[in-house]
Amino acid sequence: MLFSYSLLSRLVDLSSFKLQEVIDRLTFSGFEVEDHHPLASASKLVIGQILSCEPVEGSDHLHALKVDCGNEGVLDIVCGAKNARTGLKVIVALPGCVLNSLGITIKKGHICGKESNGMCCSLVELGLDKSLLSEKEVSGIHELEADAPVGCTEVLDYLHLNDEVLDVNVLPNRPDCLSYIGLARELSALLGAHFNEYSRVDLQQFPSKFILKSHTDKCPRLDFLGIEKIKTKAETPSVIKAYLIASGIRSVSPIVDLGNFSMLLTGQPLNMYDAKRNPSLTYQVYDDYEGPFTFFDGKTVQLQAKDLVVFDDKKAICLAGIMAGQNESISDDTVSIAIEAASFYHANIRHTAIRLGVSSFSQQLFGKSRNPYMIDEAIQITIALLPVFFDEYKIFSYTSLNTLAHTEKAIEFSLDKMNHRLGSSYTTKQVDEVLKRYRIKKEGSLLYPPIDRVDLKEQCDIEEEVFRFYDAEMIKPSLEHSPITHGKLSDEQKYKRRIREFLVSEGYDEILSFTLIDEKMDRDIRIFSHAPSYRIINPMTRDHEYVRSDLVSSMKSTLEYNIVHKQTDLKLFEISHVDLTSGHELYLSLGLSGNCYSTDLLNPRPYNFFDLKGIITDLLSMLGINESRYQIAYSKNPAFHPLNSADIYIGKTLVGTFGRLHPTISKTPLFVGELNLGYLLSLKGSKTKFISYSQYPTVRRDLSFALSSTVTYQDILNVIRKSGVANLQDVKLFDLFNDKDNDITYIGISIFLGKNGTLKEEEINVDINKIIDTLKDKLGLKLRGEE
Amino acid sequence: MDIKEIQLAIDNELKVCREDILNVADQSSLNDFKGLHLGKKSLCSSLFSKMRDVPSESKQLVGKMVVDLRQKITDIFNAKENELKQVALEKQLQKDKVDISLPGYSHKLGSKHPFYAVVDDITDFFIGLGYEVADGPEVETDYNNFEMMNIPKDHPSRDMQDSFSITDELVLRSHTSAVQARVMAKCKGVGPIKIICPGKVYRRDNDATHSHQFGQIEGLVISESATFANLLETLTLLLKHLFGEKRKVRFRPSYFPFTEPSIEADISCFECGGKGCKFCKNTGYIEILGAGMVHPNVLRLNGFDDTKYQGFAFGIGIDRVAMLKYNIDDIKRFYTNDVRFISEFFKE
Repeated sequence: MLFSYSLLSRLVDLSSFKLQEVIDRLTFSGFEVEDHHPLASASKLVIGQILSCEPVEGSDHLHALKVDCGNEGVLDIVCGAKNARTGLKVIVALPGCVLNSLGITIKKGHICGKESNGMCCSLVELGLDKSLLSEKEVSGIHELEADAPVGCTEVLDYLHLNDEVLDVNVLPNRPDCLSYIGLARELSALLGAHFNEYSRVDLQQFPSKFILKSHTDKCPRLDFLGIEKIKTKAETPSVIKAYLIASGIRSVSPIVDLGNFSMLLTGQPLNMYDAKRNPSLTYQVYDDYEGPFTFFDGKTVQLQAKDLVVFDDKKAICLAGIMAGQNESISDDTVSIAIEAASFYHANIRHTAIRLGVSSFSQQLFGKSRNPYMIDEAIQITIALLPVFFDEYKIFSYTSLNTLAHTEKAIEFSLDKMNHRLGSSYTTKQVDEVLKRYRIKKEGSLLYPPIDRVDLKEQCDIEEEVFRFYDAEMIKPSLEHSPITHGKLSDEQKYKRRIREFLVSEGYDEILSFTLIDEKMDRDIRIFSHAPSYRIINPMTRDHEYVRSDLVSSMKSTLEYNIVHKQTDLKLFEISHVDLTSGHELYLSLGLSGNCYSTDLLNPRPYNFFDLKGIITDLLSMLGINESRYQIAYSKNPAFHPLNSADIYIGKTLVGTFGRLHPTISKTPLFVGELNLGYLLSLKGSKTKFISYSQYPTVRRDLSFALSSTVTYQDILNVIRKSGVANLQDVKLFDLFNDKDNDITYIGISIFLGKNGTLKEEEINVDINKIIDTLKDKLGLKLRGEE
Repeated sequence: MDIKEIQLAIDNELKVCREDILNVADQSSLNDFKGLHLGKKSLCSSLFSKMRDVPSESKQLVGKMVVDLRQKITDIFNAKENELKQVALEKQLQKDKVDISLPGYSHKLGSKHPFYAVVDDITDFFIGLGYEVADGPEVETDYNNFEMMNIPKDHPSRDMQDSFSITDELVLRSHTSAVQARVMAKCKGVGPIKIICPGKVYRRDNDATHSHQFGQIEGLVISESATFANLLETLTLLLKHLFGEKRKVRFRPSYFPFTEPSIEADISCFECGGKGCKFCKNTGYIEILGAGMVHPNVLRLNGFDDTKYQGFAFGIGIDRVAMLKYNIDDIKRFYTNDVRFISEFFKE
């Protein structure tokens, strides 16, 4: 919220403090001053009076002025403003004047051949925000009052613009400080500065003529103040205008300004009705009206239940707390007003305003929780302000409908508890000082906060007041009394970290993609779940509407993004939780595209299925899941190439799919995979136990067979393993060769034999022949050269 | 032959040897040399065979002369043989020469994502202080995400414009505090609790400097004696760990619904060292995290006796830390996953 420093200074005596001191005190007690700047800025100004105003030859808009500037003499000034005229008193910027808003320094010079020794200014040129000024102010030079003192050089003071604007971040627990009086009270407490109390009148002296009804618990209090026979001042006093502008509010007319200024001071939103247009003087609040409603600006909206609406004796006249209707709002000929000060429930106001897309000053205040007990103060201050805006007026009624009983709530407070909780050593004297400053009554161990502080409810709230009142360094940082515990990662977290570090060391880059994806991505590739994904009912864009059920589609779009950006050799992974309607899962996705350089720098080869298979089988063995525990089959997933991808099963559970994406999904060969890592981590892996190895060397024999297209490597392995050769230690692939001329594929297999002793040549031959015979017998394989 | 003649023959043989060896250029001519001067038909051999003709009084002398001769010729031979070996070795070495400036068969390292590099770093820091890591779902109940964190229904931050809703009861978590509610529920009112909850969170933020998805690490400590002073020290240690020992840490009072008192922690600006610059908006400090003492109402809501237990909580933005630590200019880079971006973090 924007605050005028000079208005604050009128409410609380800041004369013995420097601006920066006040700013720092606020910032370090929970009211961060996010920005501060002078309301207007210009040096070397003087008030002048135009003695003569002649058009400049050869120009359609310039005038040559002679301006009496008192001690500065009569200056020749060329001016382009339409409203320049003889007799007008104006603000003159003298040579050397720096106008920060324009970024210029005024210099003597010639315009269209005429001497010009200064510039007549508008308020915009002095740095005021255009949007807060009237059209007249923006389009011409500023017209000073007839009694303005010619020759006066303290022009900003004269205009009440010698002010500093503070932008204070008022946090939600302190709604009282969304007002000048609230912040002034806070400053008074923080600085020990005198708070200037306002005068109060007895509200009971006014007759109660309004008929007020609330038909909803969302409006527990409704007060009306009636003023008639109003003769407003010709204009809102310039000092008040300056305060309004500093606070970011445009001056409109004395009646409107009265309401806005009172709102600024008290934080209580007010609404004004033309009392003559509602002779019934009946005002009622409903929360169940459904139907059209037209605002004072002519815009019509459809209201529904829970919108709070003010009625007269028959019809809706105001969307409560937001905007008045067409007929009952005040106008230029209003002479009799009914001022409403109510307590409307903040959520209703907020939800209505958001739904209808309307915004107003009072709605912004009402949208946050207001303190209903401050309505009395708001009425009092409004009454005190009346003579500032009106030359004549009469208060004809005050009526209050109040269903809230104010009971003083005591807070049980213990200094020992506070020091135990904060690890501090505040003294009774220090705490008492804070209580006194904040007007908190103390009776033994019970504390009674003042009515304006609804945020003070229990001991911890008092602790906060003490902490923020004193320097934060009063509490010495220390780990004393901190609980001592065994810090560790869970097994799952440990493995997750190991796998990530393994993949990184294998050359994979880790990615982090969006959880929310579009409908197509969600639909196109699914691995584990085919159930509908969670859908966001209030997405920001359609691109981020579904909570992804798998990681692979994000992997695919990441690969594609990089390829488009000419990064073609990609090796990526992502580990992420995924939330499905059936539960919370942990998945790992892998993605490869382009060329592999790691084996031979000068002869890169494209990534293929086996790059993925290799890393996945490495990961599985790292998790202690032996080859015998999982099965691999051609993938049935329609998003994958049917003959260049695989599903991995443990028992009947699908734990992963990997391989090349189907050419209809991606023309560029993309190799992706996804594993249900959470499931794999939940399996019991084999424990590491040392098994002594044989002291005798193993014997290797290489065999080469002509391969038929129906026989797989796995078939060969299975047959060899089941051939009954007791000395068989291992089988490895050593060659795969395609004889293109004869279209025969030869497979080379190394057989490793061994036993606890040295194998004799005869034993070896028996074993190898047995293997060859079994392969011939079971698979119809022929040794190379025998075919 | 008398001794004089023998001496002459020996001298002559040595002279011939020294001349012949000069013409030896390879192994085969070296072998010829050996045959000629040390072989059966060599002078040495013939002198040995003639030893019996030498008068006995001269035998010793002549014998020594011949042995000497043989040794000298052998030395000449050995020197040449070594020389040839050396040349051959030199040739072989030349053959093995590589251009060491050519690139190695480097196995390109991958990179952790900077987001996770920061998570790992902060996680390790807190494990060192005795914390455990708690995980939880991102699709959360409204109850855990808001209600249990002292954000009752109708609170402004629960409005539709701030968080993503799935149903009336389910939201995408808007902070990782929701995990804290789960941990507290699991502990059934019995402390101590010392956890951090790193993870992704989601808010309907339209701001150009915000992403609808970002990361948070929240911490929660509950025991019978954990103090605000503990919190201040924990945060001071953390921020110095992340941003360097030289950083000054300061605390400002603030407000959060789930903590009271609440603070924000700032660190002295690393661009200007605290003097004030564009980077820190002339304040000399950079806002870095929010924290506070767990609000007694949060303890009560989550089944803890607030007259017995107390504690603190803090939350730090992962993206924000990474951006400050690595000088990253735009939060969107984290989620675009351009490999040129990610691979810059290979050392992390």
